[in-house]
Amino acid sequence: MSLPTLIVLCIAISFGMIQMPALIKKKLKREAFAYFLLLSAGTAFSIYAANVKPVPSPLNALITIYEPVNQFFDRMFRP
Amino acid sequence: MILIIPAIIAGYAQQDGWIAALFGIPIGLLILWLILHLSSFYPKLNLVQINDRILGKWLGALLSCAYLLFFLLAGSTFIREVGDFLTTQLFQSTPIRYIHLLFVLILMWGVWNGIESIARSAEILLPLFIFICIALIVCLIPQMDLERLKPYFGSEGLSFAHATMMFSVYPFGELCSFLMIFPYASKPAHRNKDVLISALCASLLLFLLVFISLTVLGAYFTEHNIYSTYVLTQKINIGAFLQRIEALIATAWVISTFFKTVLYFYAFSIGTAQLLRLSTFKPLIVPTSFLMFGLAMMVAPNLCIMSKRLFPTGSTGISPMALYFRHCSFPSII
Repeated sequence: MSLPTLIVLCIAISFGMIQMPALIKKKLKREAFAYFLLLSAGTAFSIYAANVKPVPSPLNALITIYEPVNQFFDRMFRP
Repeated sequence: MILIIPAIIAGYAQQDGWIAALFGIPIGLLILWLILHLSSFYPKLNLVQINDRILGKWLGALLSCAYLLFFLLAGSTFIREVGDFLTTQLFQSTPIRYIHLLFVLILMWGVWNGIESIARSAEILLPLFIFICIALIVCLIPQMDLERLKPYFGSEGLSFAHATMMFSVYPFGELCSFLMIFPYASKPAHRNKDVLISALCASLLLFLLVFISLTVLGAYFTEHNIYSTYVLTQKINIGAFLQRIEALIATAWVISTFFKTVLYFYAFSIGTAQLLRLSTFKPLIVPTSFLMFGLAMMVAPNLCIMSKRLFPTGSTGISPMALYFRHCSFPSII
């Protein structure tokens, strides 16, 4: 485990420790669940970012969806 | 936007970029009018609620998800643009992560303080922005050479149309984040007119930047410099006395990008809260900043891929037109 990973984890866990119990105490279950999900996804992404690891971009998925649409329009206008 | 738009437009239409920009303004205003018109049907609802109302529970949630994904990814892309620009041009030995971190911290702070504080600070910083832009334009007038625009209409018809589309859809389509904040803004009777006029002024500024960039640098140099407005400022030289004021334009650009990003951040967190039917969006601010910090690095491995692959396909947003014509739920243009 590298130092950036450790720092990101520490920050994420400390934020979670402060905010999660407050949400649960106020009986905001949905909020706590959404908070937990988003925070864990964010932490995972941030760990990759902090370590400058090359990962496939999530935008590639969007590109594969929209590439056929673009090509369709391209073919329509280009004789 | 003010830094990279000349490169994008000139990349398609070369020396005719300024004509394409001029054609693009009315089309863009039409798109903005659609957005405003849609929000005037539902003055109390934001985009996620409008989707829910028009398309029903499941389809609406699907389209809302698409929009929220766009807000998140576009916001991260803006952060990445700032980081890329600052690390390549100004802070060459600073790792990009630290600039992202600072930017995300300010974003978090801004959204935490609420939409009103954001609006008021934008009001304070707007005169500075306008002053810098006017100074840039006035200082460059001596170097303009209209010969560089010839031959007029020399570019290919299709790529000219593409440039017009980019100029209208890219800056104006990004305004769909306004749909998320309209219900929380005060509603004077002339609000729609005000929004349209300010968008017109802003697009005229973009047009002027394209025009100046083409007349001062020429089509080839504009096309191949992604930060052509920044290069323009380096060209300012008045009597060998007033020169090297490019840090000013960098300031103006970072300020304007900050407000754009803060809107997207706000739109994403409040939209997610509404989609999941949460009572408050405040707890989502910290996770969103983590997401944005991570995605800012992940969206593209480097600047080349970002500018050549993502800008043409993505980044213009799913058009609100899809919503306007109520029957078709298909996100029409991206």
